[in-house]
Order: sequence, then C-alpha cells, then structure tokens
Amino acid sequence: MNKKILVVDDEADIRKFLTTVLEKEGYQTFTAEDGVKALQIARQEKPDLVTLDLQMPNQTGTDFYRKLTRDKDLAGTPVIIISGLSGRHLAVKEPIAVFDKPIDPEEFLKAVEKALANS
Amino acid sequence: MGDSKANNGRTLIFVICALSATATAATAIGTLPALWLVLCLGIAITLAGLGLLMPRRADALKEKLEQTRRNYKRLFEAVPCYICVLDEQLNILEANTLYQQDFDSNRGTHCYEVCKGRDRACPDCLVAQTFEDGQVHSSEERLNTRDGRALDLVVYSMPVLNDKGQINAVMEVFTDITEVKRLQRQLTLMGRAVAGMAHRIKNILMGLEGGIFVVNTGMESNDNATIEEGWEMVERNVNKVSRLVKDLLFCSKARQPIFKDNVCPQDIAREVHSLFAERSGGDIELHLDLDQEPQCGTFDPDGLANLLSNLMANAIDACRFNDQKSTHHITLRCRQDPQGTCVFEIEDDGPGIPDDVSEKMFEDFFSTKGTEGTGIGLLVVRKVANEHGGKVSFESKLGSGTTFRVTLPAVPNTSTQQEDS
Repeated sequence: MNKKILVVDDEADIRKFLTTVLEKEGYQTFTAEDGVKALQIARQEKPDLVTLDLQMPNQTGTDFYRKLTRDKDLAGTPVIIISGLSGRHLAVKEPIAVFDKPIDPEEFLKAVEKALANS
Repeated sequence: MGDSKANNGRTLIFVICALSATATAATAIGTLPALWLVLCLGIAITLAGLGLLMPRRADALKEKLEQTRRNYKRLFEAVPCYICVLDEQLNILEANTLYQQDFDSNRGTHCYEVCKGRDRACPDCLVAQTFEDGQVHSSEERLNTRDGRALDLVVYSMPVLNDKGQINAVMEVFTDITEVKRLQRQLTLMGRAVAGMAHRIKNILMGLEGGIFVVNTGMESNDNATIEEGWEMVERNVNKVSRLVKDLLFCSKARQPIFKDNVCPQDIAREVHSLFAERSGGDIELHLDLDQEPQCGTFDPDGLANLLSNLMANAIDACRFNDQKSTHHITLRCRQDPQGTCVFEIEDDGPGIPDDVSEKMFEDFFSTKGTEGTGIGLLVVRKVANEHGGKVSFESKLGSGTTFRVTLPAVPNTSTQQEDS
C-alpha cells in the first residue's frame, strides 16, 4: 500500500507543488491549510509522514506539532519542516528534516524516502 | 582684564609719585619736624589719591561680575535642553525658560510635581542619588509637556558645589531624544519589515517553482488540465511579486502621482472588487456597494487602485486570521456627494483592532502579521490619500469588525497635502 503523507501549508500553491512532487513518486497525499484541520486529518488518516509549515493562521505549525507528539496514536509520526522562517530549525524538537523555502524537489524527496525508511 | 591692569598701574604710579614728592620736599626743607610734617602730608595725599581711585575699581569689578553673570544666564537659557537646579527637598530653585515653557510650574514647587504631576518623589530619584554620593547620574525618561507632547529624554543629575566643595544644590539637565527614539523604532520596524518581505518573497518563489514543476509534470504526461493548473500558479505568483514591487515603489518618495481627468472612482472600486472576488475563498464574501449615479473627477487611478487593494487585502487577512467565525463579509463602498467628493469605505466583520494596535497602525513598517506582513500597506494608503489632499480614518470595535474610510476631494487639493515621512 502507498505511504500516506499529510502536507500542511496555508498557501494553496505550495500545497499543490508538494502534492504534485509526492504523487509523482507514488505517495498518497492529504492536505490541510491550518493546524486545526491538520490534526483532524492526521487523526483520521494516520499518515506515515507530515510536511509542516510553521506559520499559519488558525493554530501555528508549532502548536500542531505539540498536539501531534502528545497524541498516543500519532506521536511517532516523522515530521519534515518546510518554512521560510529564520528560526525554523529551533521551532520543534525533533524534526526529521528542515527545509527553507523554496525547496529543491529532489532533496525533498530524498529526505522523505529516508524518513519513511526509518519509520 | 585690561581695565583692571590699567587701574592697578595708574594706582602704583600715583603712589610712587606722591611718596617721591614727599621725600623730595623733606630733603629740601631738611629739618626733622618739617620732615614729619611733609611725610604725613604725603601719606595723606597718597591715601586721598587711593580713595579717589578705589570706587572706580570696585565699579569695574562689579560690572565685570554682572557681565559674567549675564553670560552664564545667557548660556543657561541658550542651551537647547531643559535645565533646573534643585535643593535637597527637590524644590526647584531655578529653571531655564525652555523648562518653564514646557512644564507647568503651577503644579507645585517640586520637580516631581512640575514634570510628572506626581505627589511624591519618583522611585530611584537621580537627584537624591547625586545628593547622597556627589556623582553624576543619568536615566531615560518619558515626560509629557504642558501642551500634551510626549518627549523621550535623557536626564543627567550633577552636583553644584559651594566654595568648600560641599553639595548645596543639584542640577538636572534633560536632553530631548524623541527624534532619535523615533528613528530607532523605525529602524527596528524596518528590520522586521525586511525579514517579513524576505519570508514573503520565499513563499512567492516557492509558488513559482511549484507552478513550473506542475507545468512540467503536465507536459511529461500530456495532461492539459495539469499544465493549466501549473500555469495559473505561475501567473498568480508573478502577480504577487509585481504587487509587492508596486507597493515598495509606491512607498518611495520618487514615485509621483499621475492625475488624470474624468476618472470615475466607481470603476476603480469595481476593478479592485473583481480582482479580489476571484482571490477570496468561499468563507469570505465580498460585496460591492456603489452610488446610482457615478461622477468623474481628477484622480490618480493607479494610486487609487493600489490604495483600495491594500485596504481590501488587509480586510481579507483580518477575516482570514480570525478563528472566532467561520464566514465573513467584506463590503467595498463608494459614495460621492454632488460636489464630487469621494468616500471609499472598506467594512469587514473581522475581529476588530485592539487599542494598542490602532495607536501604531500608521507608523512606518508596522505590521501585526508577523513575517507575513511587510508593514507597507497602510503607508501606501496614507501616501496616496495625501497626494489627493484627502484623509484616511477608521472605526473599529473588538469582535465586530473594522471600517476604513478614505475621503478624497474631486479635484486634488494639493494645498492640504502633507509631507509624507
């Protein structure tokens, strides 16, 4: 079965970009534009990986991350941070990888593969 | 100095002359009683001469003292600082004119009453510290003048010593650094704005890159729908970048407004409304409310389109970031009176603007949107309104929403244009 990846970003174009990159490699994708929706989908779909923007309206990426790691069913889900914020590497405790915007699709896919192989 | 030397010289010559004359006369007469008589006479003449000269010398010294006093007074008044001299009980013994002009001495005799309207000494009083240790102390203060201006000041307290080296008063000098503080705040805001802009540009770049990736993916699989979708992404992000650049250019002083006759403000409102109607999601409804009979006037159409776009974008953001409601309404209104005066209103039912934000809203580069905002939107709005001789105002109620109002004369009233900072 295809691995499930949840893409969380408030920018529709960035969601479309990431889902296109991931779907092209055969991953199944879900999207959410804010932290609240992201948590709902995560609980429902139990994704294998989450890509997360840090700054979003209606609950930030950091808040979502905190809730994700406290949820017993989701706590082990690997998270890749994709953010243009300068302090992005400090915002959450143990991200699998941190990417600045704009991303290099190949580098991004490598990180995804690695994260899924380890999980 | 010159006067005093000349006086001393004249006195000395007179004394020498008188004593020489006495000695010569005594020698000439040659007898002891006569010698005594002539000597006494000589001394008497000398003292009389000195008596004649002394008042002139005292007058000169007095004049010199007065002159020095006047010079110090002039210096005291000319220094562009507030200066006051205080006793140990913090009573103001003396203050320069600037101090008296800007701080209300009717409030009391103590510095804390006059400067701050307090009824007791300030905690950490600098003057008390100087009285205690004889050292110079300084701090930064924010004081209000009697005409309501808030000033940022650096205050120094320094001892005034008597002849024995004891402190008999303390002088306080206040230097106005309001302008420096304003520039400092502006630089901080500008730094934040630059960081915000960098973040925004990164997002746009990623959108562009994404668009290209999606177009390429569509081309690889001959999927027209995907190609179209990718191309729309490219267009959207090119528009975003051009808007950002336009805003920056509008903020620069170099950009001059291009006024055109027969411009109908309703057309601009329609144009901006349709631009955002496409952009806004289903959870935000945009409405357009126009007069029945449009009137034309002399306006800068590009400037007005930019002004309205910024206010619309702000209203959309206010609603977008509001998690208290799931649906929102924004109305763009355009009203004109018979004289052609035009009033634009952008009304939203978002969260409203807190007081602390509304105070700073028109400050350069102020933004509440964190790294999402550049803080130049309202600068553009104010600049364009000023160029038309118009004004910007707003009403806001927490939890109910905000209405921005821009009033513009039909013909730009350049005499009321304000210098944009």
